[in-house]
This record gives sequence, C-alpha cells and structure tokens, in this order.
Amino acid sequence: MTPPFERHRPRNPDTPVLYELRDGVAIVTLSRPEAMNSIDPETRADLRGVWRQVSENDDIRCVILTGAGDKALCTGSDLKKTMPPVESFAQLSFTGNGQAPMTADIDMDKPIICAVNGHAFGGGMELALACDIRLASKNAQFGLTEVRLGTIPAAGGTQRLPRLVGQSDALKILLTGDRFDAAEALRMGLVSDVWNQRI
Amino acid sequence: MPAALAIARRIAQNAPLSVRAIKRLVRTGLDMPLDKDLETEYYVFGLPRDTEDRIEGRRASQEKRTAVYRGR
Repeated sequence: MTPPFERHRPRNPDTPVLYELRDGVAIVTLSRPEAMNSIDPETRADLRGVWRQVSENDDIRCVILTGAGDKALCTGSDLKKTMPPVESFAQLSFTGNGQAPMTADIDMDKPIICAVNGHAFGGGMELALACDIRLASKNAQFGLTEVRLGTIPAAGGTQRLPRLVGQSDALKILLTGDRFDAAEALRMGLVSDVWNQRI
Repeated sequence: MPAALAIARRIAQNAPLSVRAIKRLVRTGLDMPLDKDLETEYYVFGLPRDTEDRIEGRRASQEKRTAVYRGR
C-alpha cells in the first residue's frame, strides 16, 4: 500500500495548491507566489479537491492552511483570470452552474489552523475566516476590499466576520474596505497570536 | 469629529449599492444560522454583479484610478 505521504503528494509539482502530510498534520499551501497566491479557476478547483482529500483521510488529525512565501496568504480571486461571465447570475444559479465559493468544501470536523504571512485580502481573508484558529506574522495585512470594487464578499465575509469580531469592527472593515495590520487583528480577536517571524 | 468623518468619507466613496447590501446582510445574518446566511450572501452577491458600478469598479482597478460610483 502506498504510504499516505506519497499518496497525497501533489502529482505535479506545479499544481497551485501543495499538500503534504507530516506527523498527522496536513500542510496545505497556496502556491502561486508570483501572483500573491491569488485564486485563479485552476487553484479554486485544486483547493476544493485538497479539502475533500483532507476530510476523507483518517491519517490526518489537524490541518494548516498557509501561503507560499512571506508576502501573502492569498489576495482573493485573480481578477486577471476571472472575467465576468456572460450568463446572467440567475441563469448560472438556477441551472446548477453557479460558481462555488472560494471556501467550498472547507467545512469539516478536523481543525484547521490558518497561518497568515503577509497579505490576506478579499477571498484570502475569507479563507482565513473559515479556519478555526488564526495566527499572523507581524507583517500580516488584512482587508475585505470588495466594497471598493463595487461588489460584496461572497465567501462568508459578511457572515463569519461579525460572528468573530462583533458588529462594529466587522462593519467598519466591510464598509470601508480598508486594510488593517496584525496588531489591529489581534486587538479585535481576529487572530490569536502575532509572531515576529514567518509562521 | 475628524475620526468619524474620515471613516464616513471612506464609506461614502465606495459603491453605495454594495455598502447597503453589506449592511443588510450583516444585520439579517446575525439572526440566522450560518449555513442559511452563507446561501443568502451568495444570492445577494448576484444583485450588484452586473451593475454599472461593478463595471466601473473593475475598470478603475485595472486603470489604477479611483472609481466614481453612481449607485446604478
């Protein structure tokens, strides 16, 4: 039988989501550092597949989500590669072709720790919100910037953030679209710890 | 009052339909179970998807300038 480590190594080292197993811990790494680990359609599908494997593999006891490099966890959708669809929203939604959220299949019983190094914006911050424990490096930056672009967060940002930090801080973040740093994230209880080095 | 005004101005510069949609989602969401909330958020995301402001937001971002929103 193939050992779990081998079985779950990425088949192709160029896949946008890396996945390795160490001592019962699955380390899931968004790995497009050249694009601030943003999510293009391929990454979105790959990440979803990884969550399913993590969820089903009984050798995994705990999960870490992080981003490659120290510049970003993830800066959300790669807008260069995610063009607006020609079909209407109703047409997509009610024919079963609606796009799954960035956090699809992340909901599982195994605990997920999110290690935020650098930027976590838009869908990247929403991924962090969908994890169970959040840790940040000192250079971490957060923000839900959708409102500045004429859209709204659609992967749990409007729902998970108020539950985590309360209404006043949540609405300030959501309505201004402003970025904030690790110290501010710690103050509002969005992250548990801030570390001086890369985590 | 400068601090309040600074935040208010930031909000006033953003797409007004998005601002109102977000406020409504946060207020109604707190009374609903999370899975229903997430579904509602998904559908409300569809409302501004094809508005003039959404197109302006994308365009301004590509052109690296400040977006001018009209609530349309």
